[in-house]
Amino acid sequence: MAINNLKTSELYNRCDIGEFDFKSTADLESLPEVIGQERAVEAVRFGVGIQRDGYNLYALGPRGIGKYSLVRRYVEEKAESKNPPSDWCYINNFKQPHKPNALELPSGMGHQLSIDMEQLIEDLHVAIPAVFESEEYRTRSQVIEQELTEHKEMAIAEIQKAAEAKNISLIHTPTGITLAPIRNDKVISIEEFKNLPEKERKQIEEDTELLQERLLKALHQAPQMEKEAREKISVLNREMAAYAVGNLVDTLRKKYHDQTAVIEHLNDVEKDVVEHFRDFLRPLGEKPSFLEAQLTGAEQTSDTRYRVNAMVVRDTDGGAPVVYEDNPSYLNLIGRVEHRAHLGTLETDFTMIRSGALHQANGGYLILDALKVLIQPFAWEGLKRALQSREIRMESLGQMTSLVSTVSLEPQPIPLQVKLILLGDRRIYYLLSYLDPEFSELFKVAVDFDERMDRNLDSQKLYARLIGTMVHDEKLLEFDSAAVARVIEHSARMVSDAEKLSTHMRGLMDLLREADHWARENSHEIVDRVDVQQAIDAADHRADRIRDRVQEEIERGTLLIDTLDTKVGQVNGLSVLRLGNFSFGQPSRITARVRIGGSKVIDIEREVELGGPIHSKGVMILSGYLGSHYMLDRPLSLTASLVFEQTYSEVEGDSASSAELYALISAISGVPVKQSLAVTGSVNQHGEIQPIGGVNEKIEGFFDVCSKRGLDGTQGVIIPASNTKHLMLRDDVCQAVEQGKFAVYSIETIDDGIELLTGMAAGQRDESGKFPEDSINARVEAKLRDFSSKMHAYVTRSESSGEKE
Amino acid sequence: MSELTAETIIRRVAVALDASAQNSQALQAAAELAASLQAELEGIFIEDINLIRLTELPFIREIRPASMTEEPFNIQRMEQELRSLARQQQQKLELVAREKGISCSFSIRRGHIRAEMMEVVTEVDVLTLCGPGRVSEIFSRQPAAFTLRADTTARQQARSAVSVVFGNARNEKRALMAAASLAKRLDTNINVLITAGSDAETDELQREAETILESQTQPVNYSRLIGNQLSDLVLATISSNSQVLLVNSNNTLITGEQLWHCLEQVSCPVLIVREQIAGN
Repeated sequence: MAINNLKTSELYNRCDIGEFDFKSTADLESLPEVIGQERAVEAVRFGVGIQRDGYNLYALGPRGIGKYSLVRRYVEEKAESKNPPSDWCYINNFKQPHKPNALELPSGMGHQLSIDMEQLIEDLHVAIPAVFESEEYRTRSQVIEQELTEHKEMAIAEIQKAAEAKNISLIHTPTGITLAPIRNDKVISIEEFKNLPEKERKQIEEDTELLQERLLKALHQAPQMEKEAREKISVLNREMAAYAVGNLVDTLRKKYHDQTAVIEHLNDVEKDVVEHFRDFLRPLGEKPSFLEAQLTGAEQTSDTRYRVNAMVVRDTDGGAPVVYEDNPSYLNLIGRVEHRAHLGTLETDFTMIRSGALHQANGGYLILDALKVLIQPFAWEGLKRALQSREIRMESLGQMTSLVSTVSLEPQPIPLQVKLILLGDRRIYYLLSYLDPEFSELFKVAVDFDERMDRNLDSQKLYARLIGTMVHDEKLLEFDSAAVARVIEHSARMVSDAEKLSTHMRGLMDLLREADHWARENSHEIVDRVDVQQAIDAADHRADRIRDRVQEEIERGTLLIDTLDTKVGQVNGLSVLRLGNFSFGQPSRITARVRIGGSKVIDIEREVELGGPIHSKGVMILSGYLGSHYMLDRPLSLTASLVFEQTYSEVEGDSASSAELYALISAISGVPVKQSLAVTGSVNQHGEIQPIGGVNEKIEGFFDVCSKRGLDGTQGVIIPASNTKHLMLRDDVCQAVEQGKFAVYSIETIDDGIELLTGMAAGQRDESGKFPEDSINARVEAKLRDFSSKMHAYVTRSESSGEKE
Repeated sequence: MSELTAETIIRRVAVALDASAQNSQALQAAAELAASLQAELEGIFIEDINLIRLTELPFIREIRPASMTEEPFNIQRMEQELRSLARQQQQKLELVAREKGISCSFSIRRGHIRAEMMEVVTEVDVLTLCGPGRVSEIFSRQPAAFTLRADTTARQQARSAVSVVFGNARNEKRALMAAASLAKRLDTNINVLITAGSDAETDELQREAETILESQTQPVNYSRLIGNQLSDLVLATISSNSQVLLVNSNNTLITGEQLWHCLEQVSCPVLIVREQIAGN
């Protein structure tokens, strides 16, 4: 028998400020280390340190526990010790412009190259026009043109001369030219022609024909002559352009002599500038006309062809990058090729390639929120593909899904070397492990964050320093030692365990900020215990509208809860409702009815599908307990029904199983149960009381009901003994217990509870195996045996009458 | 300037139009002069009788340089082409006249080009002619519209001066005054080419010209055509980079055949200013 009427000291694990060696947080040193997350810290150090494929990290734990801060802190520490990775640029691929080349450069050089190429373009716009406006070029080109003109003129002049000798003239017609015989500067008329002797007519015709052929021949030669002249001019142009560009590019070649890829690109640039020297004859920034662009097929102007898209530029003094992408969409991770609208179409080039988070984090660390990645279309797939292939291949969503096949840019993939850290809750981690076989391959390091830490004197002192650090980081008012103690006590309450402290940093930070707010409202210069309590109460008050409504309805008698007298087959059970981050206890009436039957305990909640599986399991255990405890030698001939009265939503959990058993025992034995007590705790088949969750809220829930009706010293709550260490009850509850107005009993067995609820001894079997007379257990056994006998008689009678029939 | 101003005496500026490329230059020059004098611009399209005639000769074929094809003539096609050409020229004329804000008229004549031109000269105050096209024009009708050289357009030398022949023939100052008016409108130099037999005569003519142009604000350059030969005139016109040449119709340098030689050799339009008739 272990009924324990708990003392006030057992209901609340107070933090003794006498143990503190500081008056306020101003006296505390900042905490350099994270506390309570030793396992997570070790995992982060391991994951960040190991340089093998697949050793990416998944930090699992509830939101607000401080995953990001801890991971970022250790990752940045590691990153600082590393050399900055390479710069990455995209440059024009002169052979295949739709496949821009990636260029890797030492950190800081990408930006410099970009500037140098801009300067080169500017210089070319000066140097190239200068050579083509030079006297040398003008003279040499004029010579070629003059030569062409002379050749043409000579050809025609010879024909003209020959024609004139034969009185034939070259005549322009509206659409061409012709040769016609003339007399006195006039074309001979048909009459004149007919009047000529036949021989002369024939001669004229022959001469005209001959000259016409010569003229045609000369005309045919013209394109060839022009082609030759054009080639000569072309050679001259290249020579002049090569001279202009060579000098400028040489300077850059010297500057980047140790960068082979840059030298190769500069060589390509030089060749291309010579090919496209005319682009530089127009002023800088002036684009070719639409028609010109169409005729020449120019896709890019000189301003863009030779630019360098310094996509990822590093700080030479910085370490490895640590990137957190807040919006991890597919394009934000992999990068994108932007387009601009031009004349009703979308156009792009390599200068419009934009980096993604993977580019920025390449050579360093990328931190992402797992849930955000998973809800972004294709982001998870894109991320995995990049990690598996170890390269960043930039594809639009259309290309990736093969929905669009229009020609676009295909930038050369960039090698990827990144340590990826996903932050998420445990559910996502386990779901991914279960559903995605690639997940385990890619995320080998689990960084598991604990929501609680041990509470002892040392840890309380560390926790005080943590509070001090947060106060200083957030520039809050200093907290006095009593305020710190109250925060620590509340931290234990947050994890519903008097021997533990919460490691949920956001919850802790919220409390500190709100306490600071109330202290300022109260014109306090330092945050004291009252301010902290005010912050806790205010936060509860903001969230407890539903709790108030429930309490109100109990008080008004709408929700039926008895707190006086005794009732047969009726027990006050306790449940917890969780609404968002706020949870509260609610008493519920549990009733049981019994009759002769076939060993069946009907869980009405289950029958109507309002009972969860754990609740149903708890009820089924009751049959086992009844049978084994009372009816070892006979079949249990009992049909009982159990119900949570006035519950309209699903009931889950087995924390009411002991209350249900008490209701059953009361109903079987006919012994009334005290309604001034409420019960929580699960029970096993041996009648042992097992711990449950939400013990504080449950006690406080019943206390509130009783408190409003008036505390008379008879009310109280029965809890499992193993839940005693979880008690961190409200101050008003503690005070009521201290004053003897309310009680909290801890028990270990069902028999303990029976005695408390009925005021009668439960009764233990004696050596003969019998319960003491007038004990509850004896009554229950007698009743069940009576049910069994009656059942047996009923069955025998039924079988006899059946045989007769 | 003399009280007998060009504005009061030049009312009709004619331009001979055909299909040649130089037409545009001639049309522009005539339009500028007409605009400067508030005169009427008159386009004259002459259907060359030789073109009609050669369609009757069965053995004559036309060569089309653009397509390098040959085709025999027929009278219907030729007349249709001439009508089409006339329409084009009329539209060009009207467009230019609208741009310059001057009135215009258009007429078509048929006959021998030179004879018709000579007749027109007697009818209008100024007749603008352009060269009949040098041999290279034949090739220009071929589709070779590419630019060989990489010169920027800014570097191409712009034609600048207005040249005018000034001699001792009757009433040559009319051409000089017209040149002055045109130069003022074009904001360019005047290049006065004096045709005189001796230095003394040259000096006298220069003084006379200076008197006529005394109120002229444009720079004036005087030079003497030493040999009084057509070749000197051509050379002076080309070397002064003239965009237009004005000559009095009775100037001996370009009488008869010399006019056509001149037109063939100078690459700018030639404006023939009719000798002023007393009382006109």
